[in-house]
Amino acid sequence: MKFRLYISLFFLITLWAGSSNSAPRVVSAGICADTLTLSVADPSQIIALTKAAADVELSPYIDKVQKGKAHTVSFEEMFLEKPEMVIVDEFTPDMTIDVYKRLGFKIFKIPPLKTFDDVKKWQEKLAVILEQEKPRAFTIPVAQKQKNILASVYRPGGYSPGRFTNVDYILKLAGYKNLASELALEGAQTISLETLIYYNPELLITDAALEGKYKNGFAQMLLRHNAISEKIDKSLYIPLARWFCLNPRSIYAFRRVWRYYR
Amino acid sequence: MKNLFLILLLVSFFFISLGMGDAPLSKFEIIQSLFDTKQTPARIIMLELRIPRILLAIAIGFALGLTGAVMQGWLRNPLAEPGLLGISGGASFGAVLAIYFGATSVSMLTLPIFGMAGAFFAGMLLLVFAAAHSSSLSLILAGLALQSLMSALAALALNLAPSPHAALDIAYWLMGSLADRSMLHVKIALPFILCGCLILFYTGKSLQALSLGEETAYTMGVNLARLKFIVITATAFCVGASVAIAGSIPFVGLIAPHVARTFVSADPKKLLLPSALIGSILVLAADSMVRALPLGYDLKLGVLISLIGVPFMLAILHSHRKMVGG
Repeated sequence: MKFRLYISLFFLITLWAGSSNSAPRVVSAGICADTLTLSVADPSQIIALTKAAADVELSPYIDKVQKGKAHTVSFEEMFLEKPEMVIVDEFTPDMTIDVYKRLGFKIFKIPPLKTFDDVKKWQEKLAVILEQEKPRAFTIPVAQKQKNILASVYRPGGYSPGRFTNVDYILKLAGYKNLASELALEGAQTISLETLIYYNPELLITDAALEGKYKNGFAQMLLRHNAISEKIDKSLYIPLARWFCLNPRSIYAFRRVWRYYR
Repeated sequence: MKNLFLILLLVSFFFISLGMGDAPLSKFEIIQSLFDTKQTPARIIMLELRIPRILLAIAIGFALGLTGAVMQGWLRNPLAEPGLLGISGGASFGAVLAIYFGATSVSMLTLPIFGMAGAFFAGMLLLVFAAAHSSSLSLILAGLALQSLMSALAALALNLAPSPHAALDIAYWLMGSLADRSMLHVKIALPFILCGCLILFYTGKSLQALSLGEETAYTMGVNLARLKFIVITATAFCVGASVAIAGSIPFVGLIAPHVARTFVSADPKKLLLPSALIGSILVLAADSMVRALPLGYDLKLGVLISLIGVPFMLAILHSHRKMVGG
């Protein structure tokens, strides 16, 4: 009799311990969802991230990505792994989200994070959901006085982030005028080389690696064009990963830009 | 006289085009920049951006217009042109492969070489088919199938692109553009285009003889097998180098000879130079339009020419149906 009681107690304790320690296991299905998840979650909670999480040019938390975790998850795998939640963002196609919902998965959607305050707020929300401690606080930079210096971020293919982008937010926070924003461009749009040369921004920033296999492709070659080669040589390089999705590590981008003309 | 008129028209487009661009330069600034000794933004814009772009538009339009006239003369079919026969598609696919595998990082020359190889390969495939089927309709259909295959292969490369940069580059190819090209691109493309054009002009007499029928041409001493090889090789030079620099610019080879035919005789030899000049004018005018349209975003040259070319092609088909009483 006593033996049965011990056995039952043992199983009850094991079950209780198992349930209390099992923080929700999640799948992230968007590049910015990856970034926020990696900044909050315990690595053992993450079933899968998108491929972008392992891309050195796009992922600020590549050091936290466990081997084999960054891959596209098929719906079949989802059923096998049974995540408690799927974290999505603005880059997750609506169609994919609908399928997840129809299959009964719980969805946590992160909206576009436009300010460092947003980052802090959503980190805390996610930490509660993932049953993690409150994330380590980071100091939100104070908006700097306008320097009246024209800056431009120029990317392969002539793309330049304008209004309502993270880059615009960081440039303005650091006290610069953003050329694309001054030209009333919204989102990441193209600026022709002619326009760039004509407005001649004092600070030119690049955030794409110019070397590698594709350095002579047309999109990349644009940044090696004779017309701007001198300016590119003097340009400031901020890795794209630092500000593609706003995150605590984006502070680095702010500091680099701010100090350049301090 | 008619050629002189076309040359004058081209020269006037050259000067009009100098004033077109995103930077609001005045006429005075444009003229001053050309003689300035200091590297002002206006001088950089003129010498490094606008002039190379204009030169490329002229060279590429010339090459595409000429190849269209030669192909129509050779196949004796008014719908023949490198784009419809899959040769441009082959060049695009070759260039896409060069970008996909990162071959362009070895040397900038790999791009036109891959483009020309792709065009030559597609041309040879077409020749193999032409040997089996003599009807020009089946040849055009085979060309369309070849073009679809090449587009599908290029789309496959885009689908499997290993990096967003490669995908972006391939997407650029498929749309065709002369934006932000430099003198380096002129230096890369021009020798191949010149070489191809010279060879194509040399075929004029044979094309003239061929217009009387293959048997007559043969009795007049035209070596048909040799002519086919020369046409395909020279077309590969012209189209490969053009596509490698500007991406896919369709319909120029179709439109230019048709416009030329309206005021020059249908003699294939006499049609070559006017077609080439009209090709130049067409590409330069379309590129100027791309730069002048106040759309606020980057309209691609290939897209604009397609928008013009499709109704033109339908008009040709319509007039052809009328002629045969369909």
